[in-house]
This record gives sequence, structure tokens and C-alpha cells, in this order.
Amino acid sequence: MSRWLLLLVLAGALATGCARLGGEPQQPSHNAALQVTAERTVGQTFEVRGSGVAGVDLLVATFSQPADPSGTLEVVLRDAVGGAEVAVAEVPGGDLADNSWVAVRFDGAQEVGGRPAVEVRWDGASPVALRANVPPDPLPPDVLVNDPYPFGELVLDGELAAGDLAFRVVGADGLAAAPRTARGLVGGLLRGLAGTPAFAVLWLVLLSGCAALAVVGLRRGRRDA
Amino acid sequence: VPDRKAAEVAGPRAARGSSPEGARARPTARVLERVVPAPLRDPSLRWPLLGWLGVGLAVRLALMPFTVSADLLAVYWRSHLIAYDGQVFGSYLVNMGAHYTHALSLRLFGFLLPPPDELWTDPWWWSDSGALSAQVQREVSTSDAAFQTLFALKLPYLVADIATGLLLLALLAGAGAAWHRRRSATSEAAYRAEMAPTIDPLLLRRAWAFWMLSPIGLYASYLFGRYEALAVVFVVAALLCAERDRPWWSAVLLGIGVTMRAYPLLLIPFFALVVFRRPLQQAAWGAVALAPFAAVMASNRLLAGTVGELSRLQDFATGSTFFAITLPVDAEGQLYLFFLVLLGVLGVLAGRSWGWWGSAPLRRDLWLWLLLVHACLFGAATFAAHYFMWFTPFVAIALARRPEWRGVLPLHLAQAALVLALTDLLGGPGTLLGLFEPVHPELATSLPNLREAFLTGGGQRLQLVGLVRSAFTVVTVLLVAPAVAELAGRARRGDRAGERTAR
Repeated sequence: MSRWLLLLVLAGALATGCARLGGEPQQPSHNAALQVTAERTVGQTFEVRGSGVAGVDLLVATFSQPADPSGTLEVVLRDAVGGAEVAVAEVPGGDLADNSWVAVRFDGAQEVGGRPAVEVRWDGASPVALRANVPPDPLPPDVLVNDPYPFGELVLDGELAAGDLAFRVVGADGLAAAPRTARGLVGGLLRGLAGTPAFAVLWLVLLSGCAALAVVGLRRGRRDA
Repeated sequence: VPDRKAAEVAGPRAARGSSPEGARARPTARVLERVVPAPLRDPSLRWPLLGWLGVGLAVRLALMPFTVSADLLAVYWRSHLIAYDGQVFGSYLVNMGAHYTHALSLRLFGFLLPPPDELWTDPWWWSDSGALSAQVQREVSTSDAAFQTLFALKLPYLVADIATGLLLLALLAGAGAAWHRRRSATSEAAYRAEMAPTIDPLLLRRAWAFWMLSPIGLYASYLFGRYEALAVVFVVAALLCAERDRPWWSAVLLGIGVTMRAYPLLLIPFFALVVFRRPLQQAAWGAVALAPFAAVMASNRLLAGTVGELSRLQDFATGSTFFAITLPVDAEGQLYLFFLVLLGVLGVLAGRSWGWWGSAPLRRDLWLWLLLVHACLFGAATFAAHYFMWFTPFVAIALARRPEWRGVLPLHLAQAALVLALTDLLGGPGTLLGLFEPVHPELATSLPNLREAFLTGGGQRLQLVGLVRSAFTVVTVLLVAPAVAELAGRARRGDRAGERTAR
């Protein structure tokens, strides 16, 4: 039994390691690279979960060449699309790698609410793009319009556009968000079951029956042995 | 033993009883005898086995309604065309046996599902699967009847999974087979007399408990929601028939397994070389095993004008997994490790089967060869975590039949942990804890996962992937080392008595 427990703990430890516990937004899928320049900004709106925003991770493309090391990727956090600037972070071009996620961190946790936006621009000699999930242009008939993150939208040159960046927001709560997450998951489970009461009853009856069979069977087996 | 002898001496009529009640009960008893594996009819084993069945079912029920994956929805979307429109999805005619099974399941369990037009919307994500599948999956996850829907969609996997467990019980209570055929021996004492020398009941319970709680089995069928169990049940059934001297049924069942997932194609030569000695018989066996696959190809041709798998070989990404691990060569071309190992094992077996060297392989050792083939497959190729369910029946058999291989369970659990870690590194969060999206879409994707932990870590993630993959291969080699030693030792010693039995 101790060996089983040890292996379970090891498996749990292997599967752990991320502190983004508060349900902060993330959207990893992409099908396009949107080029950013000093004049052309690309961004994303999102809903804040938890008490603030510590940073954002973005998926960068440098078109199979090193990014200009003297260039700078500037990320501005605004309180809304076209709204007031809340924080700015800069990443040197030397830290950008093709098709890799780059960590952008603001100077401390930023308290923003509602639906803020990040806005990205690149000032450098080599081309740099951000990976995004966007609908084809023109949109053919009989296909879905891309909207993988329903709580925000892509922003092109300060205007909302269809689709979403490949991004994830890093919250300020860290492990402190774990109880809230646990409560949220239990609440979601109960709400889902309450939404289909007939199924919930059937499922609980079946589950109880199996549990009873387990208890009775294993007890009788031990007694007979 | 006296009871057994008494049953044999008394003959069928005495054992069946001569009263009218006995005669009336006979058909039911016969059906039960055929359907319920012998260990479940043994009073000393029945309750502990039922107890573990209860544990296994409770765990399965606890997982089924709450997880979703794009793979689960994709196969059902294609199958809904068969079930409701009488069409096949012409651009993906792969594993059609599984698709027909899913279509049947949609009809059987349709009363638990929302109306088809609500659930299987059109357009689906096919125009750009990578970009659109997440949002379609989210729509299903956030629908009112999500839990009930997911529960119903996984029911065929539950049926196949439990059926595989029962087949394993029947397989492991090997001597029960002789008893099974001799219908006279209906007394429990006769059963025990037959079974006792073959297998320790404790080992049987261990294998059953393992099947009920196999981490990879639970992951594949109930967390990730893949139909691997549909193929596994036919592979185990084929093995059972091969061991019980029903080689042609074995061929048919393995052939049906090929229509569920194409991978049992790899097993056909191994089965053929063990169950028969003469090349003509082996070729005939192979032809029978390929017949269901050929029938599906023919039906694809009729229904959609293309044969399916065969026409996709040139662009079929999954096939590339067999070519993924290579040995460098200082010239053009490279050595593919999987084919190197697989052909090596096949060559050794063929030589023994055709009498070129060593002793002839025994039918009772078929599972050892299959364990070895599966170890080659997973140790020398790349794969998704749910594929690893193909390996698990052989772990259960090893636990019961080879208690002297003491490391099987811990090594397999290490394999499972490494496979899941690899999945989380490559595909997280949507392939492990993120599968719980229906419980809470935002929070489920933020549960801890290894991929995110290393997301901005540059090459660290790939290095860790390499380390985990290497560790998995080492653990796999350690797990099958006793099987290799046993097969090699037997080849040297010879086994004339066993050879006669196999013939």
C-alpha cells in the first residue's frame, strides 16, 4: 500500500507546477501570425479573475530568423480598449525566439477590473508577429467564426476584431487562489447536476449502488477468506 | 479431486439432474455458464471479485459525466452522420468498425442525449480543427445537459471495458476452460478441482483489481474519452480463443479488432505464427483475420468511393509515430527503431515457428509474445497516452500468471505516471486536468499542468520531454525483461510436451 501511495504522490507532483490557479484567462490555439510594428499594434481584451494582473505570456513568431537584439517589444496594459494606460513592460529583442512563448511581467501586480486590454508594439529591424486564432478573410460560407476565448476579443490598431490572441494572463493571487478555485469547481459540479435533476438522481443511485457493492463484496470476501 | 472425478464418472446426465425443475433450469444455467466467467461462479471468489467490480464501477461512474475531449466529440460527430443520416464522413474513413459501433450507441442511448440537431451542429470544426475545436468543445461543455450527454457518450466504452475484464477473468482461470467444455461438471467442487492447480485465487483477484483501477484504462476511456477499449476487448477475446483451441474464432475476433483500431494489424503475424506451424495454415489464418478489414474497405468504396485507411497512408500523421524514433546513419537514410525491434522479434518467432531454430512457440505463451510486441511498440515509437491502454491487458495477465516477476505492478505504475507526465508536458492543460472543462470551463483549464509550468522556459520543456520519454523506455525494458528471458530460456531448453499441446 505504501508503494501505491508513494507512486500516487509522485504522479501528483509530476502533474503539478503551475501557479495560475485563479482561473485567469488563457487561450493557446492559433492559426495565424499577426505582424506587429511600431505603427501597427496588436492586442487582446480579457476579463480579470482574481485580484489583479501580474503579467501576460504571448506566443511570438520571428519568421525563422533571430529577432533584432536591439529591438524592443513593448506591452501596454490599459483599463479598456483605447483606455488609460495602467502599466508598461518591455522585452528586449534578444529574449524573443521563433514560435516560443515569451513572459511579459509588469512592475508588480496591477489592480484592474472589468475588461482591460493589452496592446503590443515592436520597434526593431527584423519582423516580429504574435500568434493568434483568427477567422479566414474572406470568411467562406458554412464555416464557424473563430472565437476561442468568449470573454474578450482581438484588438488590431486599437479596434476590436474577430478572433483572439494566443495568450495567457498571469494573476497576482498565486496559491492563495486555490481555495477559491476548489470552491468554484465544486460549485460548478453541483450546478451542473442540478441542471439535469433526473440524471443527477439516476447517477447518484448508480454510484451508491456500486459503492454498496464494493463495501459488501470486499467485506464478505475478507470474512470468507 | 474426488469431486472432480465423481463429476467425470457421473457424466452429464447425472450432473444436470433428472428432476423437471433441473431440466427447466438447464438452458438458463447453460447461458450463465457461457456468459459468466468461471471465477465469478465460485463462491469463494465471487464476493471479492464483485467487491472490486463495485470499486471499479464507482470510480468509472464518478469520472464519466465530468470530462470532455475534442477526440470524443469528433468520433461521435462523424458517427452521427451514420446514425441519423445514413451517410459516412467521406474525408475520414478510418476505424470504421468503431464508427459503426458509435452510431449504434447513439441509437441505443439516444434517450439520454439532447436532440441530434442540437448536439451535432453543422458547421462543425472541420474547416480548421486546430483553431475551432476548442470553441465547439466549450459549447458542448457549457450546455445544460453536458454531464448527462458525456455520461451517455462514454457508455459503450464502459461496456467494452468491463467485457474485457470478464474476458481476462475467463482467460486467467485457464483450467476452467476444460471444465467449461465438459458441461457435466456443474458442481462448484468440480470447478475448484479444475481451477486450483492453475492459478492462485489471490492472483486472480489481483489481476481483476488491477483492471478495475488501471490508471491508463481509466484515463483513456473515462477521462480522455477515447474508444481504445473497443479494440482492446477484441484483442483479448482473440487471445482467449487462441488459448482455448479455437484459432479460427481468434482470427475473426482479431479481424474485428482491426476495424475498431488499425493497430491490431501488427499483431496478426504474431498470432498466426503461434497458433499454427504450417505456413499455409498461417497464411489462411492471416487471410481470415484480414477479412473484416477488407470488408470495411469494400464498404467504404461502395459508400464513399474511397477505401479509407489505405488511401490515407501517404498523408496519415498518426503513421509517422512509428518512424519517429530513429538511429542516425552516416549516409542517406536512417534506421527506424520500432521497425528494427519489431522485425527482429517477428524474425525470431518465425524461425521458431518454422523449425529453423529453438523450440516451437506455444499457444500458452502467445500472451508473452504479445506483451513483447506491445513493449516494442510503446518503447520504440511515439504515441498518445490513451494508446497505452493497449498494453494494460498484458500487465493484468502478467500479474496473475507470473507472480515471480515481482516488479510488474510498480513498474507499470511508473509507466503510467511517466505517460501522463508526457501528455501533460506536450498537450496540457486540455489533455489531463483540463479535461474537466464541463465542471467549470475557466477554472478547469487553470488547474496545474506541466506544459504551462514550462511554457516560457525555452528549451527546458523539450529537455524534460526527452528525459521522461527516456525514463519510460527504460521502465518498459525492465518490465518486459523477464518475458524476454523466459522466451529465450524456453527456446534454448525446448519444450517438447508443450509443443505437442500446441499442435
